[in-house]
Amino acid sequence: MASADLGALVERIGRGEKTAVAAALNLVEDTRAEARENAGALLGLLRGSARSQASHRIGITGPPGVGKSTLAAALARVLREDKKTVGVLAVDPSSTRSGGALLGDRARMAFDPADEGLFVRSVATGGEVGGLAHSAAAIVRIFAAAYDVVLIETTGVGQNETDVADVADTVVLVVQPGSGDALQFIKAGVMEIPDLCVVNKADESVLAQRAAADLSSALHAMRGAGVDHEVKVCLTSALAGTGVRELATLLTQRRATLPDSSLRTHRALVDVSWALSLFTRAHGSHGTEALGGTEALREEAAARAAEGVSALQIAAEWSTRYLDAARHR
Amino acid sequence: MQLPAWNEALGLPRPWDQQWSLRAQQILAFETDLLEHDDIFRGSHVIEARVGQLVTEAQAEIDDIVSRGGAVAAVESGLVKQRLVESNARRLRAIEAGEQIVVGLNAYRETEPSPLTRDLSDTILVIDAAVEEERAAAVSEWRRAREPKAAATALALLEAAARSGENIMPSSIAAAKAGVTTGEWASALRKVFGEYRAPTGVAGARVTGTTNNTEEVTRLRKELGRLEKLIGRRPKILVGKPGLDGHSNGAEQIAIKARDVGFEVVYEGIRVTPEQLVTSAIEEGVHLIGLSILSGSHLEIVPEIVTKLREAGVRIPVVVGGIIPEADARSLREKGVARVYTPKDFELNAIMSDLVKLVEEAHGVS
Repeated sequence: MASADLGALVERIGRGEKTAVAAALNLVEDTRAEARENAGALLGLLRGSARSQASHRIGITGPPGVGKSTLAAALARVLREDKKTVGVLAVDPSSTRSGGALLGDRARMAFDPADEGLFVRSVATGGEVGGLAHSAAAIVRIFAAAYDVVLIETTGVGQNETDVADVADTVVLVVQPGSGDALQFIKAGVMEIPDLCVVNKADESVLAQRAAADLSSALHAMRGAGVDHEVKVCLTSALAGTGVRELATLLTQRRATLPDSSLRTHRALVDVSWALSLFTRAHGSHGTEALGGTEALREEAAARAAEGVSALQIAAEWSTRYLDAARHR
Repeated sequence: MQLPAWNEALGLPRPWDQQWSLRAQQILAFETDLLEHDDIFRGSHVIEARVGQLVTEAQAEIDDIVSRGGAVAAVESGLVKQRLVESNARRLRAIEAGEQIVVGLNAYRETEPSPLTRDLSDTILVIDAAVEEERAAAVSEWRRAREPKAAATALALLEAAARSGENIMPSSIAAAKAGVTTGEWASALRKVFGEYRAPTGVAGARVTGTTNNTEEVTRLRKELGRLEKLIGRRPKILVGKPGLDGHSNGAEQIAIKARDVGFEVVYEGIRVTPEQLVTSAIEEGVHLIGLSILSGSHLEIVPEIVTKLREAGVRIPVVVGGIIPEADARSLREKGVARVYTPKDFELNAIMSDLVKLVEEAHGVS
């Protein structure tokens, strides 16, 4: 793709044009060699835009059935009422046997097709452990360049949500009353990750209050173990629309108080783990060892990312280096 | 008293068709002594055993639902819908495998020409297009003629009541008396609550039982893997039901089957507008769209969607499934629809094979 074309695409993405955003998403999901090159270049060009920097990337995770899609839709509606533009990435699991996937989150969200300020994309995990599709990081980057808020809604079964913590600035853990989710999470070590917790399907019942209380005390107990900010617990009913505005306010406040420097560092870390995961998926531990080991690669990625090189490009450079070295052996 | 008619599957029955159903019931009632006996099956060991079995199984289902928190919880969690979808999937697999006979579909398919499908302009009730215009004009006139302040106030009070969680019956009644229309009432509530979209039952559905023709399924999965490498992304399709039609069985089964052979399926569900489908097609970057229509409105809705897709620059194959007479199918194909499927096409593997070919052709690969 000519650089002029890419430049035009970048401009249109910045204006939030749906066909441009869609074309960019299709490009970063494309695994063919030429597409990969263009995708890397595109992501490089999208870096550092004002909107990108100001964006808020929010991960919504939790066990299946707690109402994440409905909550994400309700949250998007409130954000739209506040005139913020929203990109939603809904992640569903792929079938390991057939490779196919049923992407059904979209059908739970009501949206106005004429609203240019809301974009919903469904992706399949493609069999990745951890609950996030390999192209998710790229999609989040594109959404961040086009929209004010990015919502990443993943299934997750309660044990391996760490991927969403990588791509999101804020992680919201959603549970429902009465299922013992809170206690499971404490045991599984997922509790370190959320920045905010939500008890959805919360009515006036004792069960809802108890779930919230359980979560609060578990979070409080972890405060000594490295959780340095207070993790609030919200009660919502996405269907009845209660508590969602309060959640939106908490999220906006949190974004406003996130220091730019720590946000930049966190987002830069994404590029490092993303580049590494792209490379190891292609070449395994043999590849990483051949290039000097994971730590060395991490340092190199951090330096290259700081120069503005995208993770895709970094991984591509490593691939070339590795394959060249293998050829000359 | 229900009056289902013989042409119900194709469209609205004409007065003659409904009369036929009515007369059939009247013959049973007045020309036989059926109504002079209470239960003519009492004492039949066959019927009583079957009924007993039904009662036991039904009670087990009820107990299960109660243990999960009751009917409302079971509906909201999607469990009920999922069970229905799974049950239908098993039925269709059995039909496809020939284990379940449907006379006229997978057995005894030879047929004399049917008067029902010979000339559809005559065999179902056709609504005059002018009726729609008349009704729309009537609503406009109603709005024009009512007291504007009273209607606006009533709507505001309704919205406030909804937001505060009060019982909205009193304000709804007041709104009706002030001349507020159904659409305005619904819009006010939608503003407060958003629009509910029910669980589709497809995502979690597991297809068990007969896996007929596993060779064909395996072959299709390989094809899809190959296609993915050629086009760079896993083939992705959008399945949805435009219009007011809620008959979702076909669409659900296509969605599940497509997933089982390896497609990524965005299942949009029911009651979608043409604009929603086009927007979804763009946002999701799908390679093919499947529209399901059993309401008879295919000649109005499908060309509208095809046109809107073209105007948006989306050049992907569109296939349609539903209750579509052959003459209409021809017309749809002329207007750019790639394939039309009806309930006669019960071999889902064959449909999947078609879809793979269509995506291949659209990308100039094969």
